Amino acid sequence: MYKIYLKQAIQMLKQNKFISIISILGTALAIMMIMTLIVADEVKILNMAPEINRDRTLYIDYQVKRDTVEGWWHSGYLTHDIAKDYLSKLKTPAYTSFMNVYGFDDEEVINVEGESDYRRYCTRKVDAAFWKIFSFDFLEGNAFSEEEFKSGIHNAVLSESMAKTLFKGEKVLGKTVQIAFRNYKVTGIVKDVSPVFKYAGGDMWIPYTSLKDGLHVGFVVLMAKDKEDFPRIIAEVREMERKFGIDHHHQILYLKGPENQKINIMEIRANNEQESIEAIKIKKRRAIFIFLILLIIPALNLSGFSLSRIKKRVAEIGVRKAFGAKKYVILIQVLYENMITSFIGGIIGLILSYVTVMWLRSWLLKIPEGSDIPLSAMLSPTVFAAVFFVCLLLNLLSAGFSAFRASRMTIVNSLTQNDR
Amino acid sequence: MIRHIFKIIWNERKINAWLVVEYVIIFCVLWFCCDYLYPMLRNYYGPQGFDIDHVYRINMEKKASENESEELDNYALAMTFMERVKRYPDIENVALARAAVPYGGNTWINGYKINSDSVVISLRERFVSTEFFDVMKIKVDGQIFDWTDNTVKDDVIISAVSGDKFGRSNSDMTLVPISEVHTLRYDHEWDARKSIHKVIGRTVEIKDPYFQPGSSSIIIPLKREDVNLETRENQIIVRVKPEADKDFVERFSRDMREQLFIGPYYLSSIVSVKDQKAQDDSHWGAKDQINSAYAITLFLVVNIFLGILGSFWFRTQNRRSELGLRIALGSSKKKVRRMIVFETILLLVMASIIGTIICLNLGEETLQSLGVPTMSKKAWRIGKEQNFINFAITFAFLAVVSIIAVWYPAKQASDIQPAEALHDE
Repeated sequence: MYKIYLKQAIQMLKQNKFISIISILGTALAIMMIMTLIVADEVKILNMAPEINRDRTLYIDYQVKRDTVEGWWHSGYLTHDIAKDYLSKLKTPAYTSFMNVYGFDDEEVINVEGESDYRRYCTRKVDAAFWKIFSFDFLEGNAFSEEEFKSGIHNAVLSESMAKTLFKGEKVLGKTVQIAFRNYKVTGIVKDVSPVFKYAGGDMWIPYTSLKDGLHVGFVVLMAKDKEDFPRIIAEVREMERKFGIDHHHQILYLKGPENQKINIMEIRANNEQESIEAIKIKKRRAIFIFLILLIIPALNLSGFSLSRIKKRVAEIGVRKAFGAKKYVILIQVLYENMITSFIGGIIGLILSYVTVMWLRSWLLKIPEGSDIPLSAMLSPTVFAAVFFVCLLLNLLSAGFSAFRASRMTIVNSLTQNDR
Repeated sequence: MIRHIFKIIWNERKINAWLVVEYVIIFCVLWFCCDYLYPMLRNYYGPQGFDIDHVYRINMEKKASENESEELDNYALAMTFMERVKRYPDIENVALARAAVPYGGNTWINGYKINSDSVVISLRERFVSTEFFDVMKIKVDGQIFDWTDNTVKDDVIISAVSGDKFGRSNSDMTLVPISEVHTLRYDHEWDARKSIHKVIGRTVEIKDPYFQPGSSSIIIPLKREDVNLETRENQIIVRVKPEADKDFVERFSRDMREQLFIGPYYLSSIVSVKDQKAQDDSHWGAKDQINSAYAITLFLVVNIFLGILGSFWFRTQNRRSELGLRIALGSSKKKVRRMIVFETILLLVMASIIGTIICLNLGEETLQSLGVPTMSKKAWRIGKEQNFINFAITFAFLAVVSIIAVWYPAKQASDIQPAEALHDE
């Protein structure tokens, strides 16, 4: 039965090539836009090495300190005292890591000891827990331990390509590199990490205790033992805010979040919990609104086409009904036939969306031109499920109305081609 | 003629209803894209009041030294620096500044009182050396101060806002014409420092950043004691000769690295101000929103194009005999084509009326609750005329796209041979 529908549908596509191309193009465009958004999000949400624990990680990257008596307030990235005195005392998370905001603080002068070839790079200033939360592929050596971190050891981990640029193919491990005129021993080389990874990516990692006056501002990453612990961790963070209020008279602390990966990538701005909830709501509403526009406009287009097409086939439907076809049979047939167009469009759209993500990566993913995107994110099951679902939805929206009308037509009217 | 076309539209009302609905939605979305993009882009592409082509920032850092207590004559070191840089053949001029360079990252805002008024107005403070105006190519109407001359340290130059006004465009106060500003007073109860500044020159609006409502600047001579080569709060900019701009950064850092180890200071980097502007754009998100608006506009335009193309193609197929009859009875090809184009435009007109009513009644709050970026009408001093601009641009844009889309079906319709068409009956 469905084989016949398939044949018929393909025949119809061939018969009316012009309209077929337009319908497929319209579908492909819609799917492309929607899938571009989904793929771009997927790259930021999926667990991928080195950020393998994204689904059980929480982030706190913004704080507001307010004084109710003197009237001042400070807001910005997390300060070291909050991270050390309060957040590191949290009990539920498996690991708590404090690190610098990559790219926010200035680049530093890097050179190889004894050479005058100065370059500037960003460094990631991290602690020992960083290496537990993120999983790096060490080619040689390793990072630093908790004890070494505490002692303020001058160790540096380099990416493979960074090691190559600096040392030009020589053996790197154990050599000394100068970062802002301080000597660091290279103790580890890791495989290159794509800048897609907002928290782990980079070229050079050093313990922040090695800096003359430590790390002033940054953000905290909390890794839970299990996703289920999230509410407990959030409650504990709120408890720490209250503790701060007790320790510092008439001061109020607000820590934005802790946000999970999904909310973290929304990059919301908020100065208290109410604002944060409202901002998340707006972001969600906005996403739904964009999806609706992206679905409804092509659906309106395609609806017009499928209505015109059905109009031409009224007589055929009349005959089928006269021979006993049920309403739902006609309904399914029309939807099924249209589904073929949707799927062809869907596949083209998905391919186009990959092209778009690659092409517009600096805008969509905020990564430099030419950097690679992990393939596993683009070909994930979620992406395929999403494309199937979107096709189905678009099909229902575009052919639903005409299928419904076709199935409701009375036999006499259909046979006389009276569609009024 | 119009009544006749209306009748045709009415006969095809079922298909036309889809088209009109589509038109209305697209019209509304494009309206708001235009509402956002037009003032933004006018600011972006309009004159900025300065020129950043071939301008670079030189960043210097201070080496951590053992004896921190050592007294440094920062002014003398800076003078040595300026002299050495100026001697480099590619350099046109070099200037020192504080919180003054566009896209420099830090902005200082302070309250001043105009003439003898008591109202405090927030102005953007920029501290500069005399060369700044030359490096940034800022035209000054009046005199320029000599920053090394301590006797004129209270002379200032001010910049306009919203044409030839002075003040802050997003404040509730009415703006003063810039020519009426003669002195600016820094005089607050809570600050012991008091000063009266004489306005000796005026410039056009200095627009940085372009995505925020404008504000006038007060440009003050850089104080000798504030000069410091470490570029945290201080800024160093150079203008490079246009013919020497290629590979300037590499060449300059190679040639000058040794010479620019001045005291504890060393050359750390050189960045083009243009690159910093691009970074600023992406950091503050205006670029993203402009890009999103472009993407959505493109998507809508392609869709309406396909929609009109498809619908009218179907329609000419269905109306072959009618069109054949018209041609047989003496209607010229041109007339048939014109009729179809006119039909499309009439549909657009109907949709645009509905669309305009919807758009005028949607407030800024509704849009903000959907997370749609909007330009605050009040802060940007955008008047009602923006609505006309929105309507005109949206309508004209859609009309052009529609006419292009309907061209092929219209041509097909007018190419119908009456003999064939009538034979179908």
